[in-house]
Amino acid sequence: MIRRLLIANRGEIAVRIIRTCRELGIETVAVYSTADKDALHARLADVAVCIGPAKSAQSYLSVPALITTAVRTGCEAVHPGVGFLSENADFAREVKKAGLIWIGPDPEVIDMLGDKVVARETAKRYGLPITPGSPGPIANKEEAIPVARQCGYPVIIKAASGGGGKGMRIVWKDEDLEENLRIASTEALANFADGTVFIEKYLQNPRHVELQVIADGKGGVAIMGERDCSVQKNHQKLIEESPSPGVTPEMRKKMSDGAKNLFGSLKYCGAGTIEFLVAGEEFFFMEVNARIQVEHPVSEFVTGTDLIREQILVCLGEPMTIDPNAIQLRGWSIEARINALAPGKVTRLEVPGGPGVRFDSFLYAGATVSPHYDSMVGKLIVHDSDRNRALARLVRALDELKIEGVPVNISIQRQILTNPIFRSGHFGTGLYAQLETSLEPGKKENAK
Amino acid sequence: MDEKTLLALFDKFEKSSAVEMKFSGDGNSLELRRKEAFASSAPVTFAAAPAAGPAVAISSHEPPHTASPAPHAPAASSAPGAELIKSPIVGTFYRAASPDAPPFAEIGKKISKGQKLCIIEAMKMMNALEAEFDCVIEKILLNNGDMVEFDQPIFEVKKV
Repeated sequence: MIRRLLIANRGEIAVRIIRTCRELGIETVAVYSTADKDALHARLADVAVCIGPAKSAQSYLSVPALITTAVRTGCEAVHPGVGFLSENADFAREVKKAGLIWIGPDPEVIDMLGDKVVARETAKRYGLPITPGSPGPIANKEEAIPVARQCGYPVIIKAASGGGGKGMRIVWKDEDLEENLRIASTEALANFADGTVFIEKYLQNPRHVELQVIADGKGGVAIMGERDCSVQKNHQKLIEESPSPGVTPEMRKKMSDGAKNLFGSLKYCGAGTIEFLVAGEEFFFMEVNARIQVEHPVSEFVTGTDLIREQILVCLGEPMTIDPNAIQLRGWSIEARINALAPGKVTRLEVPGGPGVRFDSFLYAGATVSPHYDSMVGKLIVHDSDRNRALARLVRALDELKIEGVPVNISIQRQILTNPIFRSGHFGTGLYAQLETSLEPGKKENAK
Repeated sequence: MDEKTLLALFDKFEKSSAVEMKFSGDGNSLELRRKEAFASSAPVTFAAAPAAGPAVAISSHEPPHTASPAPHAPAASSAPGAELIKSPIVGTFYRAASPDAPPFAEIGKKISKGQKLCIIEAMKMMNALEAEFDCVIEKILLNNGDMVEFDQPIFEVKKV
């Protein structure tokens, strides 16, 4: 076991990691920017070091500042948390070069999984289905039509070097292919200096389902159940649950077998997530997130495991405390992300309690929500025996949560959780957009 | 010194985080320096802006362990008319360019604008901190080799 670990992060995830480290008997070094000098993570850690100004690029993203601090404070390992440098292979390399342990998979594995095309090919090799589409670039209508017919309409034209929706066109019939190929290619060329496009089957309103994985770097892989993260606003997850209302035991087994195969073969070490798009009973590999994720607590509830603890242990070369072949999923867990709608100072905070309720946050009365960082200020997570009970518990807990001084999305979350479509369990990633116009930010649900 | 010992020393140095190593014995002496640390004759420089306001101190809630950042006196009360020069980066504070060189700044010494005040080493890069205005050094708030945080006061100076 190591004596001291640096957390290269801030906010609730840094607080979360400090808590587990304390239980493991590992001292923590927190880093903070000048904007975070009174932040909870800096107050809770054994040592706190100011590493730069408010701007992340010069503080939380500054590799020299982080490495220097880790070395000078006598740390033996670095935990990158989520976001910031958590999937940055170069940072992982620098950490290792400085003689420190990286709490994450090898930089080479991060690099490989970070490349969309390589990751897809690798997943396919290990028996995971990928979205059907053209094997390579598509140059014209003549090449496009047979591919589109084989995939089945609608199809999506995507830029090979693209991202962020640019160079993407959805096509519903043969006649529209030619024009949309031209537009997508022009857009791709203008945005990414590469006009290469390819065609994939377009999944309408799919579910976003992901598996939580803990792997020991020696081929041992524990699949900790799935999470459904279909409630998203502009690709930002809002509500996550485990299990998924849209995953059958057969699907879960197929996904898990493929994931075990992939992570085992990669000799993956640490916590990771494999994401799928699900349409009906079909599922398609999307990507791997080579780190712990924000929504990990729902998996902790249904598996009864501290995932941060397992992640740290495997990366230190210690045995997992769980048996990968005897993971039991119990009950239902749901998480609602609490996001600030504007920065400010918390004047009052009341935290919900009772059985099966957990609030992970960096807030306290007097805490500042800075405009410089992510808007998420907390996560309210509940656990109960089934989905309906868990939903009732989450709504009850949301009603108990009082945050004053900083406007938050509690009311919007409550409206989604009580919406009949969400309640039915039959929804996809299009749900938020579908509900958006009817959501009222300031609505008082239970005004008495 | 035989070749094996020499190579072992090279290897040890290469794998360490040290930027400079001196060895003497058996009538031999050897001095190793890292190229990247001393490469350019003009190291990366920062202009030291005067800073007012309270010092941000390393907060250690436990008695410091051996490898803890060096505790430093928070320079909370600076004399009237005094300015604090704070660190622009996190790193290790060095008063001189190398262990055998004279310190850039001494108490009572006048430093002109553009003159070096100290070196802050981060990841084997030697970053020189230069004075932004003519001043006289009143206090040096850190010891040579101490860890310095971002925005931590290093010198108390008087503008001249």
